[in-house]
Amino acid sequence: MTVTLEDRIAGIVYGLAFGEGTALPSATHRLSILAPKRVLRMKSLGEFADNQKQTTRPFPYTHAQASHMLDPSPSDDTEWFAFVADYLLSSQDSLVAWRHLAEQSSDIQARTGTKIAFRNLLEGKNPPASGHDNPHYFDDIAMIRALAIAAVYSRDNDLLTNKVLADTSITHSEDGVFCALAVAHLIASLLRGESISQASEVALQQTPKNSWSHTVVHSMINRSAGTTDLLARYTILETSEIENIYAYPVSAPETLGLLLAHLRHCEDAKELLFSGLLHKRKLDSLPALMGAVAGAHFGTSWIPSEHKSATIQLDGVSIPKLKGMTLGSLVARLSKGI
Amino acid sequence: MISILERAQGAMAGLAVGDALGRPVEGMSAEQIRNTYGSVSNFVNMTPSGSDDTEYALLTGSALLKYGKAITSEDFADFWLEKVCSQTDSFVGAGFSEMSAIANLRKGLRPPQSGQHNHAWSDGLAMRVAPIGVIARGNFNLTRSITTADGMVSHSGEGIHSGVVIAIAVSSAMSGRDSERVFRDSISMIPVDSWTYRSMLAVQEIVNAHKFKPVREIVDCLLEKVAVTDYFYADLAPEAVSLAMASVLYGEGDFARTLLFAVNLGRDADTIAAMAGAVAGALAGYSAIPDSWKGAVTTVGGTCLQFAKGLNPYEMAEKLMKVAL
Repeated sequence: MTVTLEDRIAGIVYGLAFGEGTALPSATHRLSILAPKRVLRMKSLGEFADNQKQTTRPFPYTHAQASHMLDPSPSDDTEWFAFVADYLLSSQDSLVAWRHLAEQSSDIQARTGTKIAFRNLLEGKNPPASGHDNPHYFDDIAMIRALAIAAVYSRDNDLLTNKVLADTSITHSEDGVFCALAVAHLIASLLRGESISQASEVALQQTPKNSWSHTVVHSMINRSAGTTDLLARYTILETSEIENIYAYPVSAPETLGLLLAHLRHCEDAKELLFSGLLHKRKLDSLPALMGAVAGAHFGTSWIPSEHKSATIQLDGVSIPKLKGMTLGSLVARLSKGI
Repeated sequence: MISILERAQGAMAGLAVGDALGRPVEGMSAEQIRNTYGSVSNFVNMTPSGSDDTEYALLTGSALLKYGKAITSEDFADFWLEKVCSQTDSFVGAGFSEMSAIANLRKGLRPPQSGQHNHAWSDGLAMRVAPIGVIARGNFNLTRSITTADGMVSHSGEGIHSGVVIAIAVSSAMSGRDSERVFRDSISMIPVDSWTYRSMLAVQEIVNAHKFKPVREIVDCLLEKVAVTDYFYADLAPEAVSLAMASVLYGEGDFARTLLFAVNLGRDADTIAAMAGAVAGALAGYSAIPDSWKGAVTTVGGTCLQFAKGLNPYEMAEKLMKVAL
């Protein structure tokens, strides 16, 4: 089976959007495009359940609005990918694009770390301080953005590194940046048609020895090394490696560790996506990443046809100005550059 | 003339007093404090009691008593494994950084890996390092190296830089310098290109520029500049430590003035006031602490850290002085 580069690029975009759409957080984030009352009602329904000791809790719902609005669809992750792809393909400088976005930040729904970076930018901080002075400098959303950078600059490793540093250091620092670099080089390697083990090796080299991400990633890989069965691997990783201490499970080292620990064992795209969907604390970005990585390696053949239609649109869930951009247009623009 | 012992007692007692003063308003904003209390000028609870801040400082103090000035990061880690990780009950009121470090140590990770986690920038190190400033007084290299050794168990990056700031401030105050010099010394041992350093410069500029303005104005200005209000928790070390040091600068060596400024900032008020209290106590000495506040300097109950039950900050100061010799 040979997968063309065009199909791999399309696989990244559609795999990302499909992967993201399969998991609950994408529906939760999509509440922002439903009637504003919905968010308040979700809160009061949750409170009602707590007060009544009822285990039936509210789930994102459409009520009188079009039911398809909560069908599996690209959401915030795909939009952050599109934002970066768009500014890169328009040959815009990273900082210029981000400063411009920061000016509209009151309308943007984003991760805590991204919001804090916006504030840093608006207060006049420049990278790397804008990304460093941030409690969530390690947020895994930069790994999603790195997918876009890899799709544009897969042929030149040094340029790719520089472009990832330029983008991620605006909002992230240290391990947040290392993990984004790891994903970018993983994808670039897969786009060159290299094997999963080669690509994983390239990704591993991006985490400096003795760094947090290095420790977490190697611990996950080593602990799950002997497991050929997905469910056995899930159990080990879920119970011994994923931490439950902190309120916000966004740490990139953990996300990268899970990605690489599963990737080396997965037989096909489906198993890869399912592996991401098993880890409940990591659903915000892991299934999206798994989908994109599966797309970069296997192309689009595994994606149901409804989910690889060129007419699928972004809805402006996170970034309102992206509303209406089609996945087809993204794929076409990304393919033109290769 | 304030004796060194009195400064040591002031540092440890001041920490406990600040912890107790700030505890009832922890998590409130300056605005909420104004609406509830006008301003906090005394204990708002009848029975003042400290929390994790004092208990963790007693932990670091106890480790110093056991290993002395040559203590290493490995020693600190062993001490945590023995005294902290063995606790089976929950750590009431603990910070995320301590809980993550405990989990890492239990997993077998050693420093610096045990201090690498998603809360490594917290003020949990800065709140416990006053004893280091006491025993290493005036020797900034030693103060920093012991603080780093302690910090690597539970923190990294900004969490360690901020810990160094407080330890050096205590170390400098212990050697008899004034509040302005203590502030300058406190940032002399950390990287200029750090969040902590940037926040420290920002508060220094604000306090110096607004010294004669109403307190309320200074408080609002400081919070606007360094408080990360778009993050839910308030335990970020660059924020809390710079606010504590702003209080020291504002207080000009006056213990009560320093503490009342600190406690009315809200946010991580108990930790901010505990850190400011340790520095101000070292500056002014134990006798400068208002008598009505000294009741907070008592044997601790081990609410968060069971190991600390029965230890007393005042007595700890005396024991630390013996190690310091």
